[in-house]
Amino acid sequence: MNLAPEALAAIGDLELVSKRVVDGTISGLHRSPFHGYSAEFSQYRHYRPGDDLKYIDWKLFARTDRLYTKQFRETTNLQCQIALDASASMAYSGRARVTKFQYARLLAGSLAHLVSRQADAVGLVAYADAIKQYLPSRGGQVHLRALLLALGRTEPAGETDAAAALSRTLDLLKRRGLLFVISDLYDEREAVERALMRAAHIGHDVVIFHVLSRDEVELPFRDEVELEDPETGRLVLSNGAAAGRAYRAAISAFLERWRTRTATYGIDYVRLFTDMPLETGLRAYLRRRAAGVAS
Amino acid sequence: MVWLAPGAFAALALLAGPLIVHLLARRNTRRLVFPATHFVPRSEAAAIRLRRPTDIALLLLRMAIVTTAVLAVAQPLILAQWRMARWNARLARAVVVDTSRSLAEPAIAARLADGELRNVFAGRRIETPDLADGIARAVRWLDSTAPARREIVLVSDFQRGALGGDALTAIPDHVGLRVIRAGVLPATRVATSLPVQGWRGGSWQATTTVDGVGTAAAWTRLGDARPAAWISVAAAPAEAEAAAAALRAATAQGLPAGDETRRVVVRFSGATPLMPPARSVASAWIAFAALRLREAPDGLGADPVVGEREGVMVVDSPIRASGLEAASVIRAVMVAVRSAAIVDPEAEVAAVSDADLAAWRRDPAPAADLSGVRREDSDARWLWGLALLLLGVEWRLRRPRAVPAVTEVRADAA
Repeated sequence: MNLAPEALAAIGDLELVSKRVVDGTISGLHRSPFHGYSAEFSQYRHYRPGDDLKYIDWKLFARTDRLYTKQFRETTNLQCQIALDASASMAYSGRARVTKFQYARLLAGSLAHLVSRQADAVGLVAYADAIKQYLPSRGGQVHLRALLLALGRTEPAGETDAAAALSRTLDLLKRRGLLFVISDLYDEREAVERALMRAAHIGHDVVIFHVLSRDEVELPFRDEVELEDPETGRLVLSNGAAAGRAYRAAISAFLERWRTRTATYGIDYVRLFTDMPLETGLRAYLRRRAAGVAS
Repeated sequence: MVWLAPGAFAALALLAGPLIVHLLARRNTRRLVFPATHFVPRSEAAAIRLRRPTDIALLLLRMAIVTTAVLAVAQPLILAQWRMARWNARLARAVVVDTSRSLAEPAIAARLADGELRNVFAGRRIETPDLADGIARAVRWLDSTAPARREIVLVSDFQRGALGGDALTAIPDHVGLRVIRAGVLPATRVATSLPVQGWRGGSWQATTTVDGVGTAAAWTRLGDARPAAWISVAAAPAEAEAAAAALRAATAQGLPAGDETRRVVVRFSGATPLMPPARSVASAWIAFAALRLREAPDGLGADPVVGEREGVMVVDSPIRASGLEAASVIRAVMVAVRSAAIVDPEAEVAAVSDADLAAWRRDPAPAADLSGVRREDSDARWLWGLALLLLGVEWRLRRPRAVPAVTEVRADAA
């Protein structure tokens, strides 16, 4: 049974809630969808252009006259880092009773729970214009509780500088791993894209959870209103009836661009609306990811 | 269609109101916190500046509301056939009842008048000894009644001379006229006049006998005339004798009896100035006498000036007491102050013939005069209703509408 986001957000115990979400999410999934990199030899595969030459088994090449790339299995657990956007724009709820940040916090807690359940390491970076909270990835229940506690204390405020925060996060990460970015992505798109591209290039498995309110897709008014940007305080006088079509076209283009650009860099892109049950969106994504890994 | 208050069309200038509001007024904007402001097209509207009306439909609707309200204030009246038929089906009747002394049976006249006032849409009984005055009052009252056929009914003995042609022509053409004779005049009537003072040094009274043949008067001496102490003259000392002679000459022609308390001083040129001087006229009888003096026939030399001092009428004549017109001036003043006729007109026994009365009769014209239409009779209420309806539509249009439900967006993984 899925619980409405506002019902989950109303429960103060993040550990309990995230566990509830994870239980609801992974039921029916046959195996864990996240895998780490192996340091032990796992298998050979045919060389593909672009593969690092240092992983080519030259002895096998000498014997068979064919190029094979060695694949490894890490001996340590998966290193997972959750980058949570805690800027003021995430405090928006629209007509829903749950803010984007409440939804994102719940998602972050659930992901942490999920990763921790696999006995992998998980860490947290909460950022706005700078990093607000940083917990390096570690395993264990004690660390998970500390992470959930830090999540519970984090409140959305300030402007966003996602590019700088993500770059700093990448600097802090010692090993390649899984990087979850949970944000509304209202920032300088190109700078954020560069940071994410860099993360993907380094070898991180990047997953973006794009959290939005439904009202951000459809303008929630038809009369003339003064819109205040929660981060910059900038005021925009706009007529909802007149501007609705142009706005919807612009926001659709914004969302489509993120979808296509992330696909280009092999980044998983998950769009979630705050009125959707968290388990539904998370499970749909995990099923897809599991299928992708299997293939 | 007619407009009962066409002056209200000046209020069409109010049409500029909605236009100005749309051009200049600052819109009442709500402030909302919204994170995706980067994608929101900025409205071209500034706080206050000239701009094109943004909502033409709303502007037109508001102008229609103002126009409808102005038309309603202008009180339209649709002259539909059903309305004209309703007006023509009713009758407003003014019954003028003669109450002069000549009427032998006033009760009969009153009963006839009551009968005429039954079963009419609007009726009024006007009792007057002067038929001309009654007709004028009846015309004024009929003008104030609601639209209907209008009629004046005269109830009188129609004594000859009681009603002149001027009174009849004062009745508008659309007002009908009927006459009802109330009683008949006696064959002979004897009237005794007021005593006349001064003629041949005596006091005389006339007994007039009026019959179908003619009028006969017999004078009876009642005794010696008393000196006319109520009138005195003033002149220059050298002309005192001439002034006294002029007074005797004027009195010798006889004077009707009158109120002895109404005192008159006729002052000729050169008389000693009065201290204090006469002031403007305050007493009614002096004012009436002054008017009659102005209507006196020429031959007074120059117009005398009438004033009042301590209740005494003071007549200043610019001629000298020795002048030929001095006696005429004194006589004119006497007649002006005591104007009672020697022969009582109410003694007349001749009446207007039935043929003449039949010639006066005319039927009321169909109702066309809108002078008595009241504002509440107009069709403005329909326009007010329409204005209210438009106001409701305007309120509905102004109210922010709910955003339509958005299409479900599924979780989308790239």
